[in-house]
Amino acid sequence: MIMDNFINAREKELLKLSEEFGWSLNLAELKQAQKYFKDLKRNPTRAEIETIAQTWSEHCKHKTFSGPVEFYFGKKKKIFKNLFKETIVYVTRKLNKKWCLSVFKDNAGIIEMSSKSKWALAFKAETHNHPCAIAPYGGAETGVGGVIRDILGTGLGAKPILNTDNFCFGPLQKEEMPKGFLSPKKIFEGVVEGVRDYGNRMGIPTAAGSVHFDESYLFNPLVYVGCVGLIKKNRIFKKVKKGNLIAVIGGPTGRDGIHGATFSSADIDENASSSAVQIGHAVNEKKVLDVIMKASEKNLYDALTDCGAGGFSSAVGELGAETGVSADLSKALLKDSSVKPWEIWISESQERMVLSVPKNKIKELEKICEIEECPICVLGTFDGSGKLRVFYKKEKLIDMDMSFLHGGIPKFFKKAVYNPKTKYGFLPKERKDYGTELKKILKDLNVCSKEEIVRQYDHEVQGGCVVKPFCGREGFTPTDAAVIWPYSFTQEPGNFEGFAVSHGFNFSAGKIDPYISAFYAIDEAVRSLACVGADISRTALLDNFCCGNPNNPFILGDFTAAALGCRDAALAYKTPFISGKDSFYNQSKVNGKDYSITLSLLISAIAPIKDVRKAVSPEFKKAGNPIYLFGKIKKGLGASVYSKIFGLKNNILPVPEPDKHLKDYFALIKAIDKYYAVSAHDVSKGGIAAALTKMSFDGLSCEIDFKKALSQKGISETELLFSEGTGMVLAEIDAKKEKEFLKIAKNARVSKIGSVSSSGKISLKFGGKKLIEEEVNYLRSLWKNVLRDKL
Amino acid sequence: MKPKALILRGAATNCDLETAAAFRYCGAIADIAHINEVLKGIKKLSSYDMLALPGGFSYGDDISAGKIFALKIRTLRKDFEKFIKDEKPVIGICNGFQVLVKTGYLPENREGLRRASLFLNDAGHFICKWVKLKINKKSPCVFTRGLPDEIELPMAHGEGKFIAADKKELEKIIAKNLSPVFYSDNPNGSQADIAGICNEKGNLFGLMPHPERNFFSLQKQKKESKGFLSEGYLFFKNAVDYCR
Amino acid sequence: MTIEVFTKDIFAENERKSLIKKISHFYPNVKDAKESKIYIVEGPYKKNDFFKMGKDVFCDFISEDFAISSGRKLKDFMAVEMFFKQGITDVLAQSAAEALIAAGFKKTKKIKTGKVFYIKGLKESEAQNAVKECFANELIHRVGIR
Repeated sequence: MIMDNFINAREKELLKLSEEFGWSLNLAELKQAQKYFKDLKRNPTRAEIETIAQTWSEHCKHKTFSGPVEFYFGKKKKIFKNLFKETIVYVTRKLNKKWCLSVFKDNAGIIEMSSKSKWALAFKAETHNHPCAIAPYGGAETGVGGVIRDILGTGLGAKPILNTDNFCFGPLQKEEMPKGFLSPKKIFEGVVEGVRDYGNRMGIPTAAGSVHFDESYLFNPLVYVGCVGLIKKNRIFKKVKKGNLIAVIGGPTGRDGIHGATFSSADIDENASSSAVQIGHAVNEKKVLDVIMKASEKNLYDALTDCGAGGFSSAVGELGAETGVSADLSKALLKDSSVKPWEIWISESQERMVLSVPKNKIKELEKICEIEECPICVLGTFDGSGKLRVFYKKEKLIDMDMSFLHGGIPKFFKKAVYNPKTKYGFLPKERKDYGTELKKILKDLNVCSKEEIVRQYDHEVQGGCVVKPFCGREGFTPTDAAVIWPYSFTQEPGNFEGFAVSHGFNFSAGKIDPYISAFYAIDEAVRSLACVGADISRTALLDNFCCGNPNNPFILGDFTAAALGCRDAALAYKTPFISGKDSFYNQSKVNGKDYSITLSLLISAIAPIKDVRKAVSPEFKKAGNPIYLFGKIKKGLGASVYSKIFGLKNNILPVPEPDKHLKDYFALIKAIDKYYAVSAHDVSKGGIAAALTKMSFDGLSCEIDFKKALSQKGISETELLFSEGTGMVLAEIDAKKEKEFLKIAKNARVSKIGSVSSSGKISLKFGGKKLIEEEVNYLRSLWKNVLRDKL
Repeated sequence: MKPKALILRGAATNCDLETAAAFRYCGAIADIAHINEVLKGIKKLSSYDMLALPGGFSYGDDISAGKIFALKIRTLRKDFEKFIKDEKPVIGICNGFQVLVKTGYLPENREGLRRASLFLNDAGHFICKWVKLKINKKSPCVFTRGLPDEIELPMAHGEGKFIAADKKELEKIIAKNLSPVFYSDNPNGSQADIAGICNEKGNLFGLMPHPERNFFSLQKQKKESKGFLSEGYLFFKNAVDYCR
Repeated sequence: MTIEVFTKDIFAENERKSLIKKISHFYPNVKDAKESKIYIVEGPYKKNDFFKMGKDVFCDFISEDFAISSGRKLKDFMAVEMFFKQGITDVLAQSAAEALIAAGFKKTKKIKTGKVFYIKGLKESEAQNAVKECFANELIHRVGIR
């Protein structure tokens, strides 16, 4: 179809066209496209405009984050030409770590396992929010499928060895929803089942993640999915050679997900179209995985990438950006014959990868595909023309310059405003006993056991999950980070190098102060890695931002503040970013009113471990061992679970001290390496009281005296027990090695607060005053069954 | 001569690498092959001493777990039946066990009929957790020889509830000690707590929990230093020793 | 031809409980509920072939039973069918086709899969709504009374 009046259309008409066809292009972009075709003295084809819409979509180009921003902070103003480059990328450039092998350019970031190792780790996380809001099961499936293909398409193909998942839902008790919106419970169940069915079928352990509940996610759930891959260091770069064939492996192409990529630039409303929903088939993707692993071993291709948002238009276009492309879509394998040529080009049918294959190797690749029952077709060649030329048989669909497509996107300033909030710090009255408070906290959705979800995921497949989501004799104690030993893929059971993955996420802090919330997220991620004994001096981060409409200056203001927080915090922790993603427009119109999510920043962290045999888990190991607190308990119950449950007006966030925290963490990992520290757990939701309770779930409990704890002057009992903040870790030290431990912890802030006991009770006191004394088994039963009872 | 193990996979078989690693660690040569390579004659069953059907979700477990893989294996019935008859060790783990049951090879019967099934867990969904298993010392099973009275292994399945075709079949399994492993705390509703079954010669064995995932002590959920190798190691060591 | 596969009553207790639990959330007066899988196979096959497909391929005859008909009804139950909408990929059908080939049925023209929910104690419109609320996603599924 020819857009027969495109080049002469008026502004209004252009906008109307964009809306009618669902391109999500703004006026500046439409005019840029119009100018390009005016210069060519012809109207574009439908396929050409669709290609531009896909290529320039928020999803593919991340034009807000990498665009210019005018930031108003109180009375100050700052101009960013490219916000992304001046925050996230800046950190990585500045830190300039040699072990970062590939950053920001490929599907995933890549770091080396160790300087001696031949292996490297690829890590990527993304969101799949809008699809999960309208079709939770399918949305979650295709989200997982997509991020796995990202890893498969990294370098010359990495082997996926760990999946991660982080969810944010509305409160589960909410059932009555306005028309067009699914209840949190339905979304929750669908998403969990989708991640389960896809991840399990792919044979990739899902072993790290988190679940969060808040009103602000009621209409717009967040579903983050991540994947770690293992790749040989000498296979991390790809280059398409002129004359190579464009081979597509995997499932056939249908009408699935047409306008899925542009969909991510639009608010959810009741008219969301069903073709934006894609259906996943894990078996097809597993076939693709198996073909790639075999073909990679035999070196049958010199570049590959996944078909994600934008389908062929993005994948083929990206691979051929330097060489040019000549493709015939009539060669594509189709689900049914009614798919139109332009639809083939932008369809987002799942489980497809595009490979650049030398002509003399295509036969061998086809042979592998035959054995693995994986369809393959050849669309054309990377022809060296520098142009994108796409045909359907003889009909020319697209004839555009690659340079326009990838460089032509217009930039324009967006305004961002951030005003700090007023601080208030009310405190509750002192109580005789805090057992009731602790019980309420343990039963809170954000604190309670996530076993109901975790046990539906196969976290043991591939045999390498050393620190699992739950550890201890009966698997009762939740852990801080997953530790993976990839011996089955490397087939090197004598090599004990592995890695740990953790997350940091604090939407509550984001509501109070987005800048500080970035410190909270990064601190939590690094601290969790330290708790299992990972080499945190080699921590690499992923940033995943989610927020509402960026054209709202206040939303973009929160976003900009958080990005600056990321820059400053990551510099302080010396942790480079290697990849990331952002998701805007997480908002909905309900009865004419706009509902937007709170600024949500997920930090995913990965770090190698020299010897996985030394990794520790959080459950107490031996009665009589001393318990130490790393860090300092500070005033402020802002963003705490306590404040939320008890409706306390307190938004004071304990101030992070990255330099001091880092010293503490280095002392901790040294203590773990020397076998002095035998368990460690970070203090997060629910404060020290909740953390000690969880460490006691495996049978041994504790006796604690807060009088001995390092704490801020004038701190209240409630804050001692339940304040969250940053930097705090609880560690059990081998009684026989306590002296040696104190020697290596000389420069760290550690205080001995009590010891491990076999009484079956946790006993927390302050000097002579008893604060909490409760049976552990009872507390565990409260904590364990919350989710099950709600579903 | 090192004994040779064939690790047979289909689409979406997932545990082939760790199963191969287990056999290799015990001193065997382990080849991983797709069922299509066997069907096309590229790889020959007869050139191997042992056969393993690893865990996973072969063909998505669509229709029912292990069903499509079983249908493919049935097209080469003679070769498989000869392999079993020659008393070469065959182990099916998790999805592999489901395949052995769906082909009708387990429980063993002369007519090659289906005499049992593995049905949806009582919980109604997939469960991944560590389970304790009692070892039946009277069982003829080659793989479980010399194991302690109780061991633990991780399980990870949705369809693992063992159901015998009738009471007689179940009684036969119990009476002839054809169930080498019982759950101590039944996690899926299996009849008579059955976690796995073998044939009368003991060379053919299928079980739901994963011995290859408790091969090294560091794979355990309880972190304690108790030597490098763990209970699962013996399953594979037994098979390799048997072939020597 | 429609091949309908369902769990034998003696093993269906958990399945029924979980269906009833889900439905009773919206319609507390639900009395009973069952579920079947449906495979609609088109091809030049005889009735006996379809019977063999049910027995050897689609049905696990230890735990399940099957019927060859498109109109199976249960007394006092509403039968609500659920299929993928046109244009939505039926992934289970792809696997079913592969299974039929492995079992020697190589002339299949088309396969479609779906589900039937049998619900007791609800009116027609309620039963249909219950399936929409609890099991279907109307963006991709078509739900109707049999």
